[in-house]
Amino acid sequence: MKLRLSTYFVFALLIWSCSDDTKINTPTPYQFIPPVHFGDNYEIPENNSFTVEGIDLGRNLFYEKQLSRNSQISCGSCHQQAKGFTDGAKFSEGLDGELTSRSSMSVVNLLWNSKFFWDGRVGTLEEQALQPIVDHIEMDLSLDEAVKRLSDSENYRQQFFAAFETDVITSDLIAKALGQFMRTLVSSDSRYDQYLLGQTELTDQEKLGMDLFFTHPEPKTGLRGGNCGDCHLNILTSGDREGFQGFHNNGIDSDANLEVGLMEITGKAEDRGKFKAPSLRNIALSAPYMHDGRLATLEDVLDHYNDNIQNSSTLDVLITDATNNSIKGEHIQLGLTDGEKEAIIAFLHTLTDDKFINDEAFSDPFKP
Amino acid sequence: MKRFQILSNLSMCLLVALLLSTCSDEDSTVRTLTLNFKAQIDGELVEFEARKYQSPAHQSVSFDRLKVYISNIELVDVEAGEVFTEVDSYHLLSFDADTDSAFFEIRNIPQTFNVDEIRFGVGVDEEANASIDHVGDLDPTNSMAWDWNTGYKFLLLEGRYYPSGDDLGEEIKMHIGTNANYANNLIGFQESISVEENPTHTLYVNALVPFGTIDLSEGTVFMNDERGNEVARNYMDGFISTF
Repeated sequence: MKLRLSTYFVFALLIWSCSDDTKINTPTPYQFIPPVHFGDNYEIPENNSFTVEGIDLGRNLFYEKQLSRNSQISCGSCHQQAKGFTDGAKFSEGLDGELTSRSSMSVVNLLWNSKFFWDGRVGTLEEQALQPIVDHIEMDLSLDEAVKRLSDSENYRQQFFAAFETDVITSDLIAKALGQFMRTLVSSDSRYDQYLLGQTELTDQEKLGMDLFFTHPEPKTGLRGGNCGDCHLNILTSGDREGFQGFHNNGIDSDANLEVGLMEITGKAEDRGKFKAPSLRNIALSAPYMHDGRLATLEDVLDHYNDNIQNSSTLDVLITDATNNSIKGEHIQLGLTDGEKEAIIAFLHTLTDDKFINDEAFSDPFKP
Repeated sequence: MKRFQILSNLSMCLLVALLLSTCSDEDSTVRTLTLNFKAQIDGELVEFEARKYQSPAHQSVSFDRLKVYISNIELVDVEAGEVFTEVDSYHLLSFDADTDSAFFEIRNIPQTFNVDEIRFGVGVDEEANASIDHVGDLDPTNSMAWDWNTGYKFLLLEGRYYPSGDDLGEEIKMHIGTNANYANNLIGFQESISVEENPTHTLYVNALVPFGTIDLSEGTVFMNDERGNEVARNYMDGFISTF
């Protein structure tokens, strides 16, 4: 009798264990391991968890030119891996050659972001992913047409089935796949990262630049600072992810020329002229700089913050307040020396991540 | 007979399962004290981004957000002469327009413990402030971290100051850190809190206390200088209270 019970038990166990293994076409969970020094201040949407097939599909869609009306450009046209997922242009160029009003944003470490676009108009990557597709200047393709084109492809129907267990393609699923892929674009192996993890040393100049980068100057105590880390926070060098705290008016325009910026989204007068403080990862590869690409080089950027701040009613007070000069002049001046500016630029170069910009997993799968 | 044997075997299995599940229960001799925090001004919850208040120096201010680290919590049972020390005791209290209260649990307190006093630090102690470990709510990538090397902001208070006739106002940034500004605090309770019933107790963060008598017309940024130290001196007394 005991033998018979045991037999039943083993048989039941076998059936139970088999039933798991024999499931077919189930998307494979992707084991995401965040960089140990990036912290866990991120969220992966419950309704769009990582899967191997979803990420693969997202990568294909990111580089899929059929998602533009004339099949000439893809997301990857304006977000090029070699340029830290920017395009090197002052303004991004749409499918017919028309220019947008913004410089392409780097698509990096977005998992630790909570607002997207220069004006923060959306709060998820899934929302973000579809906007350039339908934008009339950028890719100018209706979502219905995007769904139709992909549905006409047996290959894509199979990929969607593998990723989402349905071959009924929807714009929602397109967004989810793109969101999954973009969340995997993690840059965490720059020399700065290696330094933080004790794997390499920075030069004295780079260390000086790092210290200046993260320090708000206090001339009364002799503490010199470049004031960068007030907005480009800590290890990620990106803006505060809480609410709209990561948006700032960084003094590129006076009141007379101030753009609407974040005020377009919040409706608050104090948000006029504020734009997203982007991650500075791979910043040496992603010129030109600012939301409208007006500054061509890192030297121009340092000169802006040091000498060319335009005062306005919403200028960030951490800029207004910051100076290394013992006597605060009439004009806002940071008061860095040439050597200090060069040191900060040297530090910014340590944020370049060669592994990231050469990682095959992020590259264009359609390139021969 | 066969049926009896089957039932007997099943009963044994159930018994073993029951015993196993009993073993996995947590220690029944310890309790949890939940501390709830509310940001207040004059006995009312702070209305972030919505209301102007008068600072102690009679200047018009509003609040966008308030964050403070409290750490190294010790519960004192005066009568028993015992002190309960929380392990990895670093808690970030965050208040803003979406979050009007914060709470955390202090676990594994002996069930017979009566809390007469709470001792804690405002800020992060020197050792943890120099560490990159993720302990408690310490996270070198959160908005309270200065950077990798120099620790945390102990207090972050941001809002706006409205000089007379200026509706837009100016930003207030109090970002206070540095080891010298770590402050030990003590709160005594008029009546002991018995932890027997896993109680929740509310404490209040008094949002105007950091201002002291500071004159905001002289500047609205308070960081690593004497004005920042003045804010720290202000929050060392009466910032967190029982009423």
